[in-house]
This record gives sequence, structure tokens and C-alpha cells, in this order.
Amino acid sequence: MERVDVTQGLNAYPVIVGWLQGCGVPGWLAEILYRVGAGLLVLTLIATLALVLVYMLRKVMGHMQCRLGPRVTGPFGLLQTVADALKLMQKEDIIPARVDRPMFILAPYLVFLSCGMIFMVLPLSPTWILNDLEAGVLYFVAFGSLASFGLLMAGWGSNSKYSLIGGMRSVAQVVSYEVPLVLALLGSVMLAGTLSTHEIVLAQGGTWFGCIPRWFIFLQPLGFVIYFLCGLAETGQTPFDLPEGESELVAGYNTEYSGMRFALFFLAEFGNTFAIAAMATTLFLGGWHGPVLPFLPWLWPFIWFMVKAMALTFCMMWVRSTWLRFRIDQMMDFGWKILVPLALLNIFISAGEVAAIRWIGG
Amino acid sequence: MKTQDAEKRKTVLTKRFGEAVTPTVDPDGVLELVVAPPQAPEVLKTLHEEYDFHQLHDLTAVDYIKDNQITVLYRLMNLDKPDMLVVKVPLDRSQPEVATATGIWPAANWLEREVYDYFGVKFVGHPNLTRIMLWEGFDGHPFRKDFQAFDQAPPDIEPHEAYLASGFEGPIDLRDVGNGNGAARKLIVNFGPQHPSMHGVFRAAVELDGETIVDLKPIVGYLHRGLEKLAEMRTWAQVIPYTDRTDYLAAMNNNHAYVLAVEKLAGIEVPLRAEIIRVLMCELGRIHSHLMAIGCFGMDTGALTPFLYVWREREKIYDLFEMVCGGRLLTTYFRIGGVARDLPPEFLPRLKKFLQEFPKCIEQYNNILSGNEIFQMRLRKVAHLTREVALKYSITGPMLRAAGVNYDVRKADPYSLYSKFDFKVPLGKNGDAWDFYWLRVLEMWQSMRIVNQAIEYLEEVGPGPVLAKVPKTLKPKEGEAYVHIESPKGDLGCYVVSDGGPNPYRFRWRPPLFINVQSLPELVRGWKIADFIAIFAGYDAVMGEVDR
Amino acid sequence: MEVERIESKMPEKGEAGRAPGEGPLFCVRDHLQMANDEVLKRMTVHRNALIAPLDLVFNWARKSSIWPVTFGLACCAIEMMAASLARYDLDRFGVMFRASPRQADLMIVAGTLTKKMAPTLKRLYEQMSSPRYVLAMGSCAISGGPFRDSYSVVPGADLVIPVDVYVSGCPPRPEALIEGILRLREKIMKESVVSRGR
Repeated sequence: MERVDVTQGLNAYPVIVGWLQGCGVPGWLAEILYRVGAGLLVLTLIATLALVLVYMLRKVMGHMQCRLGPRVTGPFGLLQTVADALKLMQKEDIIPARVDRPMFILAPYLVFLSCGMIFMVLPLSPTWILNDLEAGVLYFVAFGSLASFGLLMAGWGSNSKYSLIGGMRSVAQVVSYEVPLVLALLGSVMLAGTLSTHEIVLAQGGTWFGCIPRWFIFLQPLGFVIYFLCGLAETGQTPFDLPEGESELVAGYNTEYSGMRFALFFLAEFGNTFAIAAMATTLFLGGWHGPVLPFLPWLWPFIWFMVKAMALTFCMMWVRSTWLRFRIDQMMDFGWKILVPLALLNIFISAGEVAAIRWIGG
Repeated sequence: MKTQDAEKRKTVLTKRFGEAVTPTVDPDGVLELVVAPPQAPEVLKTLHEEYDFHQLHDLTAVDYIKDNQITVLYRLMNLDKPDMLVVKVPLDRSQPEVATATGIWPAANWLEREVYDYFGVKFVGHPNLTRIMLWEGFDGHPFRKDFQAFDQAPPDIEPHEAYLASGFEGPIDLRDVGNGNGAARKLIVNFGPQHPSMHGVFRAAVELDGETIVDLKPIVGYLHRGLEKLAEMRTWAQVIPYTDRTDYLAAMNNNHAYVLAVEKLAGIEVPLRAEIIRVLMCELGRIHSHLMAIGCFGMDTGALTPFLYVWREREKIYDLFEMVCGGRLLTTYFRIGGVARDLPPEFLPRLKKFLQEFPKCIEQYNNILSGNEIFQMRLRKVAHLTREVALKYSITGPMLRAAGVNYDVRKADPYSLYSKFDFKVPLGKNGDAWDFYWLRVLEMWQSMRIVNQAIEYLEEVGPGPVLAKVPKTLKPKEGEAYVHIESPKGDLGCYVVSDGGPNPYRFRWRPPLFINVQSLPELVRGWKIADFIAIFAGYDAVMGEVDR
Repeated sequence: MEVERIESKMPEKGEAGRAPGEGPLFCVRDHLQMANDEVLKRMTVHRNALIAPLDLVFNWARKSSIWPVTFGLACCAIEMMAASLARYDLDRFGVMFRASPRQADLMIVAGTLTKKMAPTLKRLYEQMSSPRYVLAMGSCAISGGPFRDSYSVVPGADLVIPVDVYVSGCPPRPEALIEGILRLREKIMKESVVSRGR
């Protein structure tokens, strides 16, 4: 196939900032305007994605459970989640009498913020990355675990016992699974030799022997599995849905939330699911790499990225609709006694692989 | 045979107690002792310790207003033989008092509270003699025949709040363990009455230390509809729909218990075909009740999908029920003297088709749920129900068998046609939540065997009448009858007393679940919240039966 | 279900045994019609060009996403489950059960409401965020059904909380519940952002 330069196309930053400066806007203001616009874009992206994902979840789970899922609202029920969101906006916003008001009010925003921040470093295509940080992976880990603060705040601030237990569980879970998650990430980082997400994707370009893509999953199968499991735990998906285990804690940390605040939790949950899948795509599945067709060459990497991330999200939903919940001690045991040693082992394997690649490839 | 045993025992007991008891043997061969209240505790204790009546099967009362007495009735059971004995203690109606039996059988706790609630009988020495079904402040005791205050206003606040604040008593007292500041580290979390996994309106106040359960207080009565009292205002036939609404997951089985009791009381012969149909329906009922239990196990441990798979098959059984009686859930298909109508011609082919498909479905559940490692981790070695605890709390049904006690009424005291069918009683070993689960799966296979045999039997017998000639207004002669059957939830008993009138004088439902649920604190102490949910799924509680 | 009473032991009094207007928990059925008319009067609003499209969109959103609270009282709860599961699948209409009343729009009173449960039901209803609706499922929730003359049953959930839709049956088939929810959708479409009471 003919090589196509995928970097051409919508390279937004120079175009937009140049245009703004051409209009007489000073450089610093243009920069700020661009960043604010990008932030709003991310919010829109998350909101849209969450809507799509909720619809997808309901459809996927429906079909796995011998049902059909939403069908009536809009064609094929496509507008279902739009209606849900619109309805949640209209709902009364209850702040119960004896809550810790600042915490109760801030918590959903914090959770949503942490989810939104992750999107900053996702390389959606070679040119579409909001901020290619030097320490992108570290940034992802840091903001990923920020969510647990939000959840704890929600649990504590609600002044409800279910919420409190839910919040505690979620913190215990996120803290425990952060360790193997980071250790599993290290494998890819070692192979790529950088913390920048963009460069990690670039390092996965090309093929071995002309047929196998140079994705890190082939070098890091163990790392990928550990990352995926920890990702499930981070986002509170089955089998790690203890924080909001319906049969035990009613709705966990968001028991007392209604209306739009609840919607924020809801959005963040699905945003996080996608973020975890997208990060797995970036680190293990070669990011936006994929065959590029001459038609709209700049769009194809984005499509490949989304396809991979959505496939992983689908797997998460698949797990969600078939598996059941761990007990808290089993969850801890699994994290500390199984995943952490395996993740450490994975680091040694990666070190061996790095040495081997240097020795062969020079 | 039974009567001979009873006669033998009668002479033995007469020698032992002398003047204190008046023994009689009823036509069923059940020995009845009438004991005066002062001697009652001693007699009960002796029966428990020396004569091996280790299970308090039932404890209830009847208000004989004409004789100005309330008779408290203890039904004792020896599960090994099995053997039954009734002790009746007549009390003065104006001041009914008798010593408690909680020291002998802990199961008596709730049963005595119930009798206190219904009849106002004071059990002297009872640890917590408060109302159980109704709320404090309720005026009068509804099961007394002169009760008038039917239209009382509901309580203004939720009852039991004061009871909850009264503190907990559990053997593991972690409350005294300080957290450093000297404050007690207990957290009381209230599960129910509205809670997704409480199977209705059960309420459990759980005292937690972290995630570990220190103690639990089960609170029931949120669905107490006064079924048994209402039955006293209906004709004998009109009670059948009410029995449906007790354990609404196994309506057919409930019907069976009631109609058997009334038939025994009135001496009605049931046509053979009708009896086979009844057995068939009851076993289908058992399958669909167990399906629900299995699905709930899945749902309570966090897996939603098996629940939907289970319901797929339940809907098929509902279709079958609908074919014979028009109702899906509450069937009211049985009649005194038979069944409402014969099976429609397309019923048996459809049933056979279902039976062909069903083994594959069970395989599917095993693939999706039973074989799941997490599911096994969640259930295996969780809770430990021993034989002793099971007998202490009069637990019956799959839970008792999970503890390794071979007691299935269908085998132990065969009623209806069960002695003619070939089936096994699966038994558990560990008495853990996994056994509670797995036993139900195994029982479904056995039920399928019975259904298959029933179909063959039915085809062998051929067409015939399905309803005996029963007078329009049935007036059984004065007397009483007790029948117990193996319902999917346990040993379901129906005790009816007739005064020769057109409606039951007393209708008592021995609810297996009400008695089983009492043991919940014993089982969950020291386990985690998640385990409590899983263990409670093992009870397969239906609040309609617990509260009636 | 009409039950022939052989031996009536109940004194004949009012429905709840109380005089009209007495007591905080009970309103009386005779007054329901009047209240209903008043609500209808309030509901007729003069829609203008600004409100009409807004109503359309908002009502559409609300009717398309009715989240009932998982709250089963008795037998009807089983049929409620059946309606939301494989064969009947209420999820087609966007009906998704939520365990927390705060996030729910609809309370399906599925089963017999006992007097002991009445305060809890009221509290649950108050915990729900408005706009909220109540669907009385089954004859017990409508009028006490076969347990009407019991000493511990509230003869109708509407004596405790306002009910929007009644679904008859004992228990109603899942199809009936779906019909009830469709009726509720119709009702929601008639509301307006300006006149919405609760």
C-alpha cells in the first residue's frame, strides 16, 4: 500500500492560533482562547461519548440478556440517552438536610474533572492531542486516582451510611489497584522509553516480519491483562463494582444524589470507562496505527483509535453483563496477592524484552 | 402402624407424667397431650430431653371463646423418625399466661411473639415479648374472636425505631473495643424495608464493624396482611386464593397444603387423576420457585444476566400455568376435592417440549453461574449451618438438607401420591451458601423426574373426573386437621379448625420461612456485608409467607 | 375480586374508619374527584410560542426516560420484575429500575400496602425528586383488594400518597403494567413546564 502522510489535515493548533492572531488578537489571548475552546471540546466529547456508551451498554447488555434494550425513543432507541440526560436536567436537585454541603456539592464536579483531565493526553490521531505532555502517562495515573477523592467526598458528604461504605470501598479499591495498574503501565513505558503518550504510540508503528504490527500487546500480554483488570477496578465495573454494588449498597456513593449531580457521576463513570479503554489502546494496541486509505487520510487514524477503544469498551461491558461481584476481602486479596506480584514479574519480563530488542535491533 | 406407636407412647407418657397430662390419639396417629399451664414447661422440657422431640415444629394458639379459653398449641417433631406430637395448653382467656419455651427451643422466640401479638398470650420469661407483626400502639389482639378494631389508623412514624435504638446483643461484642478515642466503633446500617436485595419488605438492622457484621436484627411484619384472620371470615373455598398470596412464588404448593388439610378435615376423596395433576403442578411450582432462588443468588452476588436467563424459563412455566387456569403467578387452580378443570389437550405436548429443553437450560445456568469462579468463591465456605443450629431454630427445607439432615416431607411423611414416585433427596455436606444454592439446582432435576413420572402416570390413568362431589357450601364437622407438605421453601403446614360452620374457625399457616428467617443473625454474625446478602439469598425469602 | 362475606364482623364505617378530612395521613376518596378537577384546571395552561416547543421537548424527555424505583411490596412485585425482564422488557421504553429513590421518577406501588409500611412508603415518596409519579399496581394498591377488610391493610395507596395511574389486576399481567406506563407517558405529555405541580 502506498504510504500516506497522515499528519496532514486538521492540524488545528497552528491554523486556529494563526487565524486568531491574524484577526488582531494578541498571542497570549489567542493561546488562552484556544485552550478554553479545546477544553469545551473535551467536555462535549465526553458528554457525547457517555451518551453513546450508555446507549451501547444498554443495547449490549440487553442483547446478552435475551432482551432488546431501548427501542422506542427515536430510531432504534438512539435518542434514549439524550432523553435521559434532558430528563435528569429537569429533575429536582435535592440537597438533603444534614449533608456536608461543600463536599456534597463539589464531589460530582471533582469526579467529572478527573475524567475530563484524562482526555487531555489521549492521542486520538497523530495531530489530535490536546496536550502532548512529557509525562503524559504519569499525568493519566495522577488524574485517574483523583476520582477516588471525589468518590470519598461524595460518600462522606452525603451523610448516608450506604454512601459512606461505598465511598470507603471505592477508595480502598482505587488505592489497591493503582499499584498494579502503574506497574503494568511501566512495561510499555520501558519499551517505548518515554512517558509521552504521543511518543509511545509512535514507538508502536511499523511491523515485525512485515505482518505482525508492532503493538506492545504482543510483547506485553501479561501487562495488558493486568492493566485491563485494574482498569475495571478503577472504573468500578463488574467484578469490581463494590462501591455501588446495587444488591448491597443500593447505589453506593451516589445514593443521595439526584438530578444533574447524579448525571455528572453517570457521565464520569462512562467517560472513565472509555478513558481506560483509550489508554489501553494507546499503550498496548498501537493507538491510532492502522491501514490508511487515500480517502480522507487524516481521518483514518482517528477511526482506528475509536474502533480499538470501543472494542475494549465492549469487552468491559461484556464482562459487566456476565460476571459478578467480588467480596471486599477477595477483591483486596486479588489485587495485592495476585496482581501486584504478577505486575512486578511483568516489569522483569519487560526489562528482558528491552535488553533483547537492543541486542537484536541495536 | 403409626397409631400403634402412638398408643405405645401414650402409655409410656401417662406413666411418666401421671395426672399432669391427658393424652389422646387422633385418627392420624398423632399423640395429643393436654397439659395444664403450670406443668407445661416441665413436660415440654422432658419431651425435648428424654423423648427426642428436638424440633419445635410449630407454636400457635386457638381462641375458644365459648369455653373461655385460649389454647396454646405446641407441635413437636422428631426429624429422625419422623414423629410428631402435639401439646395443648389451655389458658384462661381473661389472663392468658404460660411459661416461655425459648429456653428449650430458641425457635420459640418469634413464634411466641407472634402468639402474643395475635392473642395477647403472655409468655413469662420471654426475653423480648413485643409485637412482631403489628406495631406497638396497636389496639387489641386481632386473632381474638371478640376483636373489633379493624380500622385503626396506621402508625405516624416508622415503628421499631425505638426497638433499634435499644441496643444489640451478640456473642462477639466488638462494641467494647475502642477506636482510640474511647468511642464505640459501631455503625448500624439499615437494610430494608426498601432495599434491592431484601426480597420484598424485609428489614435487617445490621451492626457493622467496618465491613464485618457484629450483629443483626431482623424485623418482619411489613407485609402482614392478616391472611389467617381474613380466612376466618371467608368460606372454606374462598380461602384458596388467600393461600396463593402467602408464598407467591409457589402458589400451587400452597394450594396443595390447604386443600389437603380441608379434605382431611371433611373426609373428601379426591379422584386419582386430580391428585396426579396436583403433584405435577406442585413439582412445576417447585421448579419455578427454585429457578427464582437461583436467579436471586446471581442477582444478589452482582450478576444480573443469570436472573434474566432464569426468567426465560420461568415464563415458559407461567405459560403452562396459564394454559390450565388462566393465571400466571397466582393460580388458584386447586379446589377442595380436586382441581378446577382438566388439563387442556395441548398442555402435555407443551410440557414435554419444555422438559426436553430444560436440561439444556440448567446446563446454561451452570455455565454462566455455577461454574463461575467468583461465584464459587463468594458462596463456598460462607456461613456454616450445622445440624444443631438447624434443629435449634427449626429450620426446614433446602437449608436443613444443606446442613445434612435428611428430612423431606415428601419422603419422611409422604402425602398425596409422593410415595408412588421415584426420586431422591439431595443432601448437602457443609451447610454453606454454596450448598443452599447447589441443592436447589439438584432438586430441580429431581422435580423434573417426578414430573416425567407424573406424565406417564397420567397417560396410564387416562381421562376421568378431576373434581369430587363437594357440597357448594362446605361445612366440615367440628374438629381440626393438620397437614404439612414440602413446599419449595420448607416444611409448610396448614392447621385448620372447624366449628361446623361454613367458614374456618381457625386457619393457621405454618410458615417455613418465618421460622427459618429467625436464624439469620446466627448465620451471618462475623461475616461481611456481601456474605450477608448471599446468605440471605439462601433463605429464598418471600415476605408474603414470612409475614402473611 | 368480589368476595362474598359470610359473617361480617366489621362495623360499617367510612372507608378508612375516619371522618372526612380528619388525620394527617388520609385524604378521603370523595374528595379525590374534586382534587382531580382542580388539578385538571391547573393543568390547562395557555401555551404560547415560547412554551409550547419547550414543553414538547421537555415532556418528551421525561416520558421517554421513566426510571422507577426498585420497590416491591408483595406479589405484584414479581410481575413487575417480569415486566422488566426478558420477555416483556420495559427497557424498550427507556424504563430502567434505579435502587435509590433519589434518582427515580416513578414509584410503582406493587403490592399490598400495610399500615405498618405506610409511613415508610410516605417517606420514600418524599425522598424522590420531583417531577415524580406514582403508579398503583394491582388491586391491593388500588383499594386493598382481597385484603380490604383486614385490620392491617391500608385500603388503597392513594390514601397515603397521590397516585397517577392505576393498573388493575391481582396481580396485573406485565402487559397491563406496560399499558399503565404507556398511559403515564400520555399523561406526562399533557403537562407543561409552567403548571407542573409537583
